[in-house]
Amino acid sequence: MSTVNPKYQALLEAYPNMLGGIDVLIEKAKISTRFESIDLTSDENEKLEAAKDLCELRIIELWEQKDSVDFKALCSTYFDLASQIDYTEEKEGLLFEYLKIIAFGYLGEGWHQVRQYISLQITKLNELQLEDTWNRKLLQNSFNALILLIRKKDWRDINNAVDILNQLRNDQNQFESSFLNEVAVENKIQSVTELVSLYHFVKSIDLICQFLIEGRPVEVEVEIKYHLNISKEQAEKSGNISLVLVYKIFTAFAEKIVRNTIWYNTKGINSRVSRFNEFISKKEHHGVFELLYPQKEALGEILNPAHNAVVVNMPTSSGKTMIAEYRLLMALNQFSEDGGWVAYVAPTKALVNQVYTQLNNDLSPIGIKVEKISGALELDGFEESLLERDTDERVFDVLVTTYEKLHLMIRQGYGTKEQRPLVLAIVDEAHNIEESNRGLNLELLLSTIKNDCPRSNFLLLTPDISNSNEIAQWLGGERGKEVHLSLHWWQPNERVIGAITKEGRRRDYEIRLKTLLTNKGTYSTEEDILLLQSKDSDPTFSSLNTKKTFASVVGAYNSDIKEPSIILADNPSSAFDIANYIYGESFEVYESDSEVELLQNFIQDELGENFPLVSYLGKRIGVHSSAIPDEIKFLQEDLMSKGKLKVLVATTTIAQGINFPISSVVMSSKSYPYGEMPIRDFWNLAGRVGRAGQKSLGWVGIVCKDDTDLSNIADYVKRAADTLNSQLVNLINNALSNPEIEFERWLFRDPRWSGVLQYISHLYNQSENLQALISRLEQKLSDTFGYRKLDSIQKQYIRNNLKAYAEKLKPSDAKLSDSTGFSTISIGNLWGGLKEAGLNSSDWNRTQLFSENNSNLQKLVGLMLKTPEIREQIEKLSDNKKSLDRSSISKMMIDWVNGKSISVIANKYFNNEEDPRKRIEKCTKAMYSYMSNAATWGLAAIQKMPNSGADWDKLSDEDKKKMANLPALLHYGVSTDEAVLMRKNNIPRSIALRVGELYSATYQGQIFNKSTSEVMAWINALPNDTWNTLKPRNSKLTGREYKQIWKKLTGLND
Amino acid sequence: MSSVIETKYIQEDSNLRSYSGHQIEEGYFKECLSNEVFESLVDIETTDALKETLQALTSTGFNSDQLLADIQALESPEPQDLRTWRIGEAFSEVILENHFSCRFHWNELRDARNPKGNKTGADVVGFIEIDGDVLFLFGEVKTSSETATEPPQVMTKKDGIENQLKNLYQNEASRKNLILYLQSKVAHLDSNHPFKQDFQNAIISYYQNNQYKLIGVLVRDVEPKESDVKISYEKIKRTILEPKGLKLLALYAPLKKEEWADIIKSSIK
Repeated sequence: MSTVNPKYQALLEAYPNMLGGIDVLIEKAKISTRFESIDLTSDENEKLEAAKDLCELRIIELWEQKDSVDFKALCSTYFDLASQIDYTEEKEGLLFEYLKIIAFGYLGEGWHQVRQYISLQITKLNELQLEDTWNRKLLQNSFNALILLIRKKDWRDINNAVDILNQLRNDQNQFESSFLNEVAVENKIQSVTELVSLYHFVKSIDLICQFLIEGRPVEVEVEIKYHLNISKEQAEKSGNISLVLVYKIFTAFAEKIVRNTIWYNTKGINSRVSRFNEFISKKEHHGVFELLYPQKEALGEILNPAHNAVVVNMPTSSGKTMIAEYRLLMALNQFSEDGGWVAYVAPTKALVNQVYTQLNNDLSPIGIKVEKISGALELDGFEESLLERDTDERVFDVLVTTYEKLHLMIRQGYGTKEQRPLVLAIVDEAHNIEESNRGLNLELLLSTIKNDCPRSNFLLLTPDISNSNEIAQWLGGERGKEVHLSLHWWQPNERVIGAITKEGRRRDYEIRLKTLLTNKGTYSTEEDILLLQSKDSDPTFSSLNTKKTFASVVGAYNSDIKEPSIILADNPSSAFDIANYIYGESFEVYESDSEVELLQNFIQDELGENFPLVSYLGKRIGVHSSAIPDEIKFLQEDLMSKGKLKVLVATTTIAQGINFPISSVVMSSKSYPYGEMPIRDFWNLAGRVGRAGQKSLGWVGIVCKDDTDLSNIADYVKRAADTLNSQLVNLINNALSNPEIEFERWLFRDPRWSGVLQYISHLYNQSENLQALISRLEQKLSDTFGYRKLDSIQKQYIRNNLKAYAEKLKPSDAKLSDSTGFSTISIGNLWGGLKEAGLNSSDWNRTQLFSENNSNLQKLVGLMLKTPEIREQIEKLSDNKKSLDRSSISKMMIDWVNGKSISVIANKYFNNEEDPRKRIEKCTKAMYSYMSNAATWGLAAIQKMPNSGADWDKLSDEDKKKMANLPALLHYGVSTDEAVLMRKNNIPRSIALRVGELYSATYQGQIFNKSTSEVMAWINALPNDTWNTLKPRNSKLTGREYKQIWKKLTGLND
Repeated sequence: MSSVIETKYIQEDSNLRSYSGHQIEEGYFKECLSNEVFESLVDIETTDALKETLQALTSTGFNSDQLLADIQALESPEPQDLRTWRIGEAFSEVILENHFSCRFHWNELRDARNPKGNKTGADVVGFIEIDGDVLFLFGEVKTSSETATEPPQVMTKKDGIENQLKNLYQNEASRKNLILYLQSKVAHLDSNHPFKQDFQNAIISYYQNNQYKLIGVLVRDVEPKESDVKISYEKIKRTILEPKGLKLLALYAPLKKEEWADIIKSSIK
C-alpha cells in the first residue's frame, strides 16, 4: 500500500526496522472497531501494543520539541494506538494509562477525541477504584476531577471537579495522620514527600478548573508550573518514578489545556470578547471552553489587525462560525465609533437561518444586534424599513444574508458611506466562488465591496483551497493572509472512504465496502469489509445494476438508529424511491416519540394526509431534497441531530451546512444531475461523516457497478482539489470558442453574463462620465479575481466587448440595473414589454393583482419569460410533462398567494402526474424553489421600472413599503403584509395569516417598525390557548404543537 | 574474574542464565565503601529542605501541621542513607558495574539513587552487555546475615527476591515504566552518549528479540554457601522463562555489616 495516513510517518521513521507496516495495521485496527468482518489476530494486537510503547518512548525523546509537527503526530498516533487497546493493568497502572491517553491525546491536538473517548469509557472509569489509603485517595480523586474537567458537558462538571478537590482538603485531617502512622519509620520521608507532591498536584488541577471557568488567574501557567515543579521534585525524593513520569506528562498537558482555552487565545483583545467568552462558557448546554486546533491556528492570524483579508482553510466541521464571531467582535469594537457593521454571507436561505440563529443566540446576550435579510432577491417592505430605521439609530451590528442580497444592498449604497460603513465581510463556504451558477455572483460581490466599501475587511472561510494565498492577495494586497493548518493530517473526525461492490449471483450475493486511499487522512485496509449478505427478500443480483436499487439495498442494511446514515440520491424523485424501498424493508418497531409525531402531523397539515413521508418517519426514515419545503427539511435535520432518524435519504443539496452527526453516507453515484460532483463538494460532504460525538469511525461508500467504475471512483477520491478558479475564465473561454455568437447575445444563452454586465453598469453609475469609466475599466476589471487569471487574448476580448457595452449604456438603465439586479439588456426588454402592457397604478392594487379574474399578472408572467436572468426558472414552474401557459402560471401564483395548500395546488396544476406523491414533489419544488426565487425577483424588478405604472412617487411612506411587499407575498405564499412578517419570523404558512392579523391588531397596524427580536419576543409570549384559537380548524396540530414547531424553526429551546 | 572478588560457586545454564557466589577481598571491600559507595550515598538529604517545602504547602489549601510534626519526630543523628540495606544496594551496583559488564550511568540517574518507599521502581535499573548485545537490567538487592534457614528468608519471604523477580517478570507495566523513566533521562543526551547508545540498543533487544535480564543480588556477611542462591534459582527459572536473562548473585562481604557505616563515615572529611 503506498499512501497511508501521513500522521504515522513519524513513528515509522523513528523505528524503521522495528515497526514496518505499523501504519497499515493501525488503520486496520481502527476499521476493526467499526466493522465486525475485520478482525485483528493476536499477533497483530501484540504488535500494536509494542508500537504504543515505542511511540511513547519516542514522544519522551522529543519532549523538548513539543511544538514540532513530528511530536504532535506521534502524540496523535499514540492516542490512536492506546485508545484501541483493552487494558489489563492493575488499578493504579490503568489509571496511569488513562492519564497518558488523555495527555498525549491533548498534545496531539486531539482534545475533542479525548473527550469523546472519556465519554465512551465512563463506566470503566467509574469502576476504577484504588485502595483507600490517603495517598491513593488523593490520586484517585485528582483523577476523577480531571475526568470531569475534560468531559465538561457544561460548567457544572467543572464546578463538580472543584468540589471533589475541596473535599480532599477537608478530608486531610481525617486520613493523613492514620496513613502516616501505618508507614514504617524508614519510609516516612518517602511517604511525606509523596503526599506533598500530591497536594501540589491537586492544586494544579484546581488552577486549571478555575482558569477554564473564568479565565483567571492571569498568570495561570506560571502558577501551575510552580506547583507541578514541586510535585515532580517531591515525587523524585519519594522515589516514586510513576508519579515522576505522571507529573512530567501532566505538566505538558496542563500547559496545553490552558493554551486551548478561549481565554488564553483571546487574551487582551477587548471587553466585548471577554463578555462573549463569559457567555459561551456559561451556556446552559454545550458550553465552550476550549478551541479546536484549527480554531487556535486561525485565531492568531484573524485577530491580527495587520491583516485585512484573511482566507481560512479549515476542514469541514471545525467550528468556523465561532472563529467568525471573534473576528466580528474585534471589527465591531475597532469601528464602533464610526457605526461600523458586519455582513455575514452564506450560500443558501437555510444556512442564512442557521447562521442567524447561532449568531443571535451567541451575540445578542452581550448586546450585539444581529439581523437577517431574507434570501429573496429583492428587499421587501420590512427590510427597507429596517435599513431606513438604521439611518436614524443603529438597529443592527451584524447582518446575515445571501451573496446576491448583500450585493444588491451594496450597489444601492448601504455600507459604502463614511458613517455606518461596512467594516467586515464574512464569507462562509467561500469556495463557492467556483460554483458554476452563482460563483460569479460571489466573486463580483467581493469585487464590489472592495471597490465601494473602503473600510471593509474580509474573512473568507473555506474548506481546503490550494491557492487561498492568491485570493487573500486579491482582496487584501500585501495585507492579505491565508491560514493553512500545519498539521495537514488533522481532521475533526475519522472516516473510511470506499467503493461499494457486489459479488455473487441471483439471490445469493455479498455487498462489500472496498476501502480506498485518499490524501485526506482517511483510513483504509487491504481487506474488503463485508456490509451485507443477501436475504431471500432482496432484489436479484442483476437488478443491482441500477445504482438506485443498489443504494436502496445498502441503505436498508443500516437499521441502527444510533448510527444514522445519509443515502445520497441523484435527484428528488430517486430520493423518494429509495426511501420507499428502505421503508418496505424496515421491520423495527419504534416507541412513539412526540417530536417525530409532531413533524408527522405538521407534514399532514402542509402536504396532505397521505404524503408518504409521514409513514416513512414512522420507521425513522427521512427525505431531504428540493422537493420538500425548507421547514420540513429543517425539522428533519433537527430530528437527525437528536438521533431520532436512522436514515435520511437526500439529494446533494444537503451537502452544505449539515450540522448534525452522521455515521455513514451511501452515495448512489458521485454525479450531480449535471456532471460530476466537484471533489471539493465531495469532501465537504464526506467531512461531516463520523463527526465528533459519533461513537466510531464514519464511512462513506460510493456505489460501484464494475471494475471500470471502481477504478474511476478510486481515482476520483484520490484527486486533490484543484486550485480555485473564477467562473469568469470559463465564461470567456466559452465565448471565445464560439466566435460566431455576438457578445450581446451571450446573456440570453448564459445568464451568468448578467452579473458581469451589472458590474459594469454599477461602475458606470459611480463614474463621473463614460470617459472616466472607460479610462479606469482595466483597473476596475482587475478588481475581480477572474480577470487577473486571464491571458492577453481573453483580457482583450472582455475589455473590448465591455467597453463597447459601456458605450451604449444609458444612465437611467444603469441605475435600474443596480436596483433590480437585472442587466441593462433585460431592463431594455422590460421597458418595451411594459409599454405594451400599459399597466396603471390601480393594476398594482394587490387584491386586483392577485384576484382570479385579473389578467395583469398573466402579462407580467409573459414579461418574466422574456427575461434571461429568470426565464429558465419560470419555465420550470410548469409541470414538465405539459408546459403550463402563462395563464395557468399566473393562476397558480394567485392560488399560492391566497393561501391554497400545496396539496390543493398540486392537484390542480400538476394533475398530469398520476402519482399523487410526485404531484406534491413537483409542486413543492415549483413553489419553494422557482416561485420564491425567480417569480419574486421578476415581480420586484418589474415594479421598479419607471413605466410599470406603480407610481411610487405618489405613494405614502407606508404604502411604498406595502408596495415593496408585493413580491414578498409571492415569496412567502401569503396575502397580507403582516403574514409576510410572520413568515419571515418562521411562522408556518398555514397559520401565518391569522397570527399576523393578531399581531397587526396588537400594534394598531404599526407593523413596520419592530426589530426581528421584538417580533420574536411577541410571538414567544403568545400563550398556547391563543395558538389554539388561531390554528386552522381542520389542522392535526394543537396550538401548543404549532408553537413547538415555531420554536424549533426559530432555534429556541423548549 | 579479578582476584579482588573470588568465585566460590557458579552454574551457567547459558550466557544469559546463571547463578554464582563471590567472596570479596577485604582491602577491596573497604576501598569500594570509602570511594564509590561513599560517593553514591553522599547526597544526604537533610530534613531541613523538606521543612522548607512544607511551609509552601499553604498555597495548595492543604495543611502542613501534621506533616511537620512527623518530620520533626524523625530527626535523628543517623543519616538516612547510611542504613545497611542502602549500603548493600550501592555496593552491589559498584560490583555489577566493575565486574559484571553492567552499566548504570549514575551521573545521569542521580535521582534514581534515592531509596524507594514504594513499589514503582526496582533496586537495580541499568544495562548489561552480553556478547555485544545490550539488555535492560532490572533487579532487586537484599542484605542478610541470617543463617538459620536455607536459603535466607530474604530470598523466599513475601517481599523477598524470588517474588520480587517474579513480579518484575510478570508485571510488564512496571518494566515499561522503568524503561520510560530511563527514556526521560536519555532524551536530552547526544546520540553518541554511551547512556543513550545503551538505551537504544536495549530497546532493540527488548522489542525486537524480546530480551532483557533480571538480577537478584544477595549481599551477605557470612561464609559463602551455594544453597544461598541455588535453591531459589532452580525454583524461579521455571517461572522466568527464556529468552529472558536471569542471574542470582551472592556477594560475600569480608566484614560484619555493623562495621560498614563506620567505614563510610570515616571517609567524610
